[in-house]
Amino acid sequence: MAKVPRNFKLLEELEKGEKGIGDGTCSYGLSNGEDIFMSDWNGTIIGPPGTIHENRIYSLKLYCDDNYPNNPPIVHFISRINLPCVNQHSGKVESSRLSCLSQWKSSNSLEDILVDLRREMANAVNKKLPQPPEGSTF
Amino acid sequence: MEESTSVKSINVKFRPSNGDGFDYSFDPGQLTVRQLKEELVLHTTIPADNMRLVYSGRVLKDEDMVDLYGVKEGHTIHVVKRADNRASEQASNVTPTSTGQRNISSTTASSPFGMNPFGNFDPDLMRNMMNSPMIRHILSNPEIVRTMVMQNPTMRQMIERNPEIGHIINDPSFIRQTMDMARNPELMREMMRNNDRALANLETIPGGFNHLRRMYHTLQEPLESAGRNNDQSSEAANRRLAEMLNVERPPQGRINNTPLPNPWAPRNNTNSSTSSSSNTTNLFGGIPSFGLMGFPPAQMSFPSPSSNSRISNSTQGPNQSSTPNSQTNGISSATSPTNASGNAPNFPNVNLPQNSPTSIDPESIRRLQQVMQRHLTSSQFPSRQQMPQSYYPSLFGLPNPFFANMQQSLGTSQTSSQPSEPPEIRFRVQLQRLEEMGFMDQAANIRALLAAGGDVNVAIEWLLRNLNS
Repeated sequence: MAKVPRNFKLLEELEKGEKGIGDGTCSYGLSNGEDIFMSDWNGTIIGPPGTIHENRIYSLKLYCDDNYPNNPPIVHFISRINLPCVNQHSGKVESSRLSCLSQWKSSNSLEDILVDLRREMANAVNKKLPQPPEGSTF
Repeated sequence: MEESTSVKSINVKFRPSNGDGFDYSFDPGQLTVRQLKEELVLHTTIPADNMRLVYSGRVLKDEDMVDLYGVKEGHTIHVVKRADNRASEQASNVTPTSTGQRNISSTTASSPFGMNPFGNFDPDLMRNMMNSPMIRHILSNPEIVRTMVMQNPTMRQMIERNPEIGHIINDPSFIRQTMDMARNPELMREMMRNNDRALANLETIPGGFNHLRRMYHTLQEPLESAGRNNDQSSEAANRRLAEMLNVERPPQGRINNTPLPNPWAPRNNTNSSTSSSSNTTNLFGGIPSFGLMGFPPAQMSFPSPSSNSRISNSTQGPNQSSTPNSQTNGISSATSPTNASGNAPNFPNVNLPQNSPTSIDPESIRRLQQVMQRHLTSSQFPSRQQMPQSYYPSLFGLPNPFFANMQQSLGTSQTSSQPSEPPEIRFRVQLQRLEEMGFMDQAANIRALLAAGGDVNVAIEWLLRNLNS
């Protein structure tokens, strides 16, 4: 399978994010539009309905290093959230505990991570977890 | 908005988390986020104070200019409702409401056009509520009513799919009239009578029947099918009707000698025992302007807890004879009903599946038993039971008379066969499976499961079909 160069892939993802192609529950884009290396990204996850996260918006930071998409990005929650896969001190998403990161494939995208996290929130085990007040940050 | 004054105006897609997106043009250099929100209020049901905009992974701050975020032509901004307001948003169908004052009012407020609302309500209570100054105020404001209608996903879908219905809710005088009628039973009865008479007269005019038929085809039918949200084909509709009538698939490879179900059979009996309630049911007979929006009753409401407890009490009742054990071939279809009718004098001549034991599935047996039980209980407790959801089901969602009659006479409200738990609890396991499979929209999942009667596979099919359409 042909390897897609990092920047092509990220550009494609950027366009997808800005145009809102996808299921509309996650949004993402560059933190700094001038960043030609496209390393730092913002993401938001709209809390899944029927869970404690409903109507909340969670902000995240994603960092794509030079080896993206061979290496998965590093993902941090900015908004405070109580989830087993999120380090409660730093907000970092533990890659070992999120299937999308632990089994990362170069065809995966930033959106896949956000969607996977959202699925994690809606997971029957997690959806009723008590959450810190909205607006608090790590 | 005005392209002439601002050259730099761009067209941006807005995508609410629930409902369909819309396009809106504005000049990002001229507007703060707050101002943009205020302009968007016209396009969504979310008030500016509760609206949050998300673009490119960031929540837009009220005081910033929009162009700070680099929004460009053709991009998408997500619209999310803030959490504070959730009670009014979802009280109507998802959460089983508790007893709080606030909850009651929000249920009433948000669902007069909804699927569920007043199945468990006493009509008097309902009338009192409708007359309370607050509700009266709310309902007297067509704009609020319109917003409420649009908040109901089913209604919205229906209106989007059938723009010609849209004018109904956009016409304040129509809404006001409807509300007046709903409030005043006398007025309502009068309207119904007039309408019935008009239709009856119409029928006697030469060609009148054809006209009626045309009316049915052009108005009633499309509206009904619009009310069901997954009406893909007439076959599906037929199947649903068959289910409603409890018609079994004819036995294969054998002559179908089963009698047709008779939906009108027990009417006389129930009428005599409960004249008042059947009266009220008839109120709604044959008025197209009401029947217009009629959902089939099965979709309309949750069962009342009282009737359910009764049903469960009588599960071990005298209906054991309905199990398919004695008959071995399809000839003596009449015997088991008569067995049962010793206990259930009103039981209709519905075709019972005993006559073809080979082709019965347990599901239909169960349903049949419920039908019988319901019938039993309804003859024992006529006044409450005979007040089906059709009385004040929902101001727009009045069932059409045919369904109402049929439901009453068959005694088979599908709704009553559902356990009293709310769907998200009842379908907990299935929901979890759906979520594991990646169907993340719980509301849609619940709807799908309800439509599929809890069968995950059917629900998935439903979901996929709705995703594609």
